[in-house]
Amino acid sequence: MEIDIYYIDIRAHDKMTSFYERVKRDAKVNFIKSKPGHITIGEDGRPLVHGEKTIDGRKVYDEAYDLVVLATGMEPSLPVETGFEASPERDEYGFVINGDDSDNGQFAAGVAAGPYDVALSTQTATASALKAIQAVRGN
Amino acid sequence: MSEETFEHKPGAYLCGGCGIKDALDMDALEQAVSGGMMVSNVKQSDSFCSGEGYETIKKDIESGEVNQAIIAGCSPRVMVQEFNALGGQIFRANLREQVIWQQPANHEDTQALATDNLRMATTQARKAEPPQAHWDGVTSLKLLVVGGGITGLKAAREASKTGAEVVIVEKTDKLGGWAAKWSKFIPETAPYREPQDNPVPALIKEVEEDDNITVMFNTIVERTEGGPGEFSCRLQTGSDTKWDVFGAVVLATGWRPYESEAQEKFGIGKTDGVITDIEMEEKLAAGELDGVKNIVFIIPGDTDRMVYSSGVSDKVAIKQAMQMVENDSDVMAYIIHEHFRSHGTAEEFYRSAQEKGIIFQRGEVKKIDSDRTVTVDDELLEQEIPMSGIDLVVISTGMVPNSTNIDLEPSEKNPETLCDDINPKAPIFTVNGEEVEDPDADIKSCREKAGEEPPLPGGPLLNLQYRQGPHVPILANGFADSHYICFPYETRRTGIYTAGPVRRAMTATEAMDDAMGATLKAIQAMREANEAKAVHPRAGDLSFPEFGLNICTKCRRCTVECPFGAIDEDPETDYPMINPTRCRRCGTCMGACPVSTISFKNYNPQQVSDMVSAGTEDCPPDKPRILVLACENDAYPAMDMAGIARREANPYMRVIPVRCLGSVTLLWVKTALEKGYDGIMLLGCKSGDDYQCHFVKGSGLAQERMGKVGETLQSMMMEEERVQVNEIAIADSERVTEILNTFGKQIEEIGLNPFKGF
Repeated sequence: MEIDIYYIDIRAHDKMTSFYERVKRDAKVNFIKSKPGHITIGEDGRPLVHGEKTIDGRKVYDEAYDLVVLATGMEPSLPVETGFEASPERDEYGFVINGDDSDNGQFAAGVAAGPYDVALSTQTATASALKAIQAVRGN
Repeated sequence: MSEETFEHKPGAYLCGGCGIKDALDMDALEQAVSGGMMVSNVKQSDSFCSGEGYETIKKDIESGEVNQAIIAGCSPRVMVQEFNALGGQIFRANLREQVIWQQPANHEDTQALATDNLRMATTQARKAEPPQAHWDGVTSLKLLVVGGGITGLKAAREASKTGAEVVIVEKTDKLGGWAAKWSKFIPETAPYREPQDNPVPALIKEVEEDDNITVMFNTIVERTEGGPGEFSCRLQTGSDTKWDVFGAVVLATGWRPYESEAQEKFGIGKTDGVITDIEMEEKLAAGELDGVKNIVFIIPGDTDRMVYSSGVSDKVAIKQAMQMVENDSDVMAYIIHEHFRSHGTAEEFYRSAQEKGIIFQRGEVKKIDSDRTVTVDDELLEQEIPMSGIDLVVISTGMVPNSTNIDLEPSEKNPETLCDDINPKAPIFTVNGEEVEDPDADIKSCREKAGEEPPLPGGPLLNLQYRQGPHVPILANGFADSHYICFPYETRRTGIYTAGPVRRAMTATEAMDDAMGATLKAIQAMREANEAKAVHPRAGDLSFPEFGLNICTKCRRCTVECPFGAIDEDPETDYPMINPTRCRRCGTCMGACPVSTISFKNYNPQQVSDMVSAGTEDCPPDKPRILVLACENDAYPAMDMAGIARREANPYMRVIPVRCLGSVTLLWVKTALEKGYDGIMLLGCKSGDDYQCHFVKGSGLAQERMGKVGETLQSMMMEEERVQVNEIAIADSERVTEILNTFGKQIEEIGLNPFKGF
């Protein structure tokens, strides 16, 4: 099985740097700098990915695959109306803006606060727990 | 502590809810419990977790009629707080996730499984006593923060706000560390588009005015003895030393700049006007940049450096470029990179930079001439472009963690190095498990290599008195960090937590949040230790290992195998001596002891051995029995999840949850074979260099120990395949069913245990 990864930037941060280096060494995985334009269904029923390679001679491609996986993003699932009298402040993407002290005793952790992975989510969780404890103590 | 004998008063509560009573004969269970299992106090209900059923158990316990409640129904992993609130000792028999949800209803094998689970639970209760605090003294609730930079300052302030007393030990004569010098901060809150003012001066002021916090300048921790609640530290200021006792330690020793060959290649220190991003920050703070109209920022793409920069360099370059163009609209700023790592919300910062006219170029910088002409191998144009007329070139550095004290000489014992989650040079396997040919692969384990590599520069930060050495353990690349993404901040030294850039490269703003998280864990550790309880993962556990010294042969296996340095040799008697607050109550010592003389009040070799027997007591001579010892951390949950997914399972398995595979003693395996089990499967978390075992070494030790069981099996004329160890991650609920079904078939083929029925 061969795998093609189409990317604009590889944003492997922290320990993912090593992970990226390791995957790069796998001969069956190809990293292709390109933003595919569109995907159609080919004659054989398999998805057909169309685009232009950004480097590598600017070649235009129409590649057929058995499976195409689209990377998505994360939106916070917190509804605009939380049901509390004072709702936390949000940024334009809907993530909760966390301050140090909260007047309304509400703190956001994990993806409610930003598009975080597991490690960053657990960090925000412990930090929020401490802020909550302090709020209850009346500091 | 009183030594009264504990009087067992068990009560069994059989829950028929969640469909249990439709799949099992509850009355038959009740008869078995009051009959052969000898628990006369048995009750049934449609729900014991709430309402009348709950009140029944509560009354029984409050009246003193029952002090051990055996609740048969849902998995021991659910309704934990509800049942613990009842008081008394709680034991659980899993009838739901691992019985009715995985077996056909009203079938004799299903009934047998349910009955045996109940029998094992009543046996467990019979051989258990309530754990008692191993001491009742008062411990220290004072926090030690090592490092007075932004991370340490924030940790101290947040701890003080919870009422804790704090001591900050700072190596230099100033607070604030690197971040105090920054001209501006990278924005980490919405709208993420502009550099922020530096909050460090205000934070320093808060710390100075905080009565709970004492700062010791020009001080290092020269020696640390003990464990959580009782860290005795010798603090050295110049030639003066002073002892103090702390409850927990937050290690916030920060970083130092990364120096690489790229710097030499680019002419830092040689070519006029070629500087590092740190030097740039100093110039921005001093306002020394008039006359700079064309400025180039270079973020080199070499992996060695990127490990120490983790996207921080990219944000720093944007910030500095922004400050330049906002200060003077004639300034042209270019940022040259290979991958732009502005992950997450920094994307907004990146966009903001582009809108302000900062130019981003993608490519490798080939050379910088003495007149500062920068030649870039531009990726998009696919040619080398020289850029001349540049007034200032800024090269990104990185943040090397201060996981050692570089002012000191290296110690004899190098820091215990654990592998990073991913070894970039590890061999690659395909989906089928075949190895891909790869000449670059480096097959040596991280530990072997660590032994060959030259020692890390610097001496120990805390000089811990641990048999494993004086250092705080590190991961690959020198970061003092946890190996678990779900337990951040923890080191393998109980009660000591790392925060900030010493554990991974991060911006100053991130470091403040990080400090809060580590402080929470540190305060928890102190408070748990004060009540003689364990910290994570067995938070709140009061039980602790007791040693029957009259049988101890002083073989020292427990001492050597404890992953947490909780056992030392008593210098006078040579017997094992426990450091109680370091202990995480995993039972690895119990599993190590060849004469089974180590035990916990509620978890001990004889108890589990009896549970093993109980699981097969009623087994008909023609039916197989497989013992599964499943660690509670990943394996047992995975099996529960298989039940939640309603996957059919082998009805002849008898599952006993264990604290860690490290606690599994050969006594249990021998008992199982003698009592007629046909197969024994140990399921635990991943071992080895990329371990996920929640107690670090447990599952690895189990593999080793079971390797030796082969000889015993041979001497009993039995096949080696009857005992297996498998590694399960919590997400492996599908795989665990397959593994157990395959094992079941293997056992069928080998045939039943010849000792069955004896």
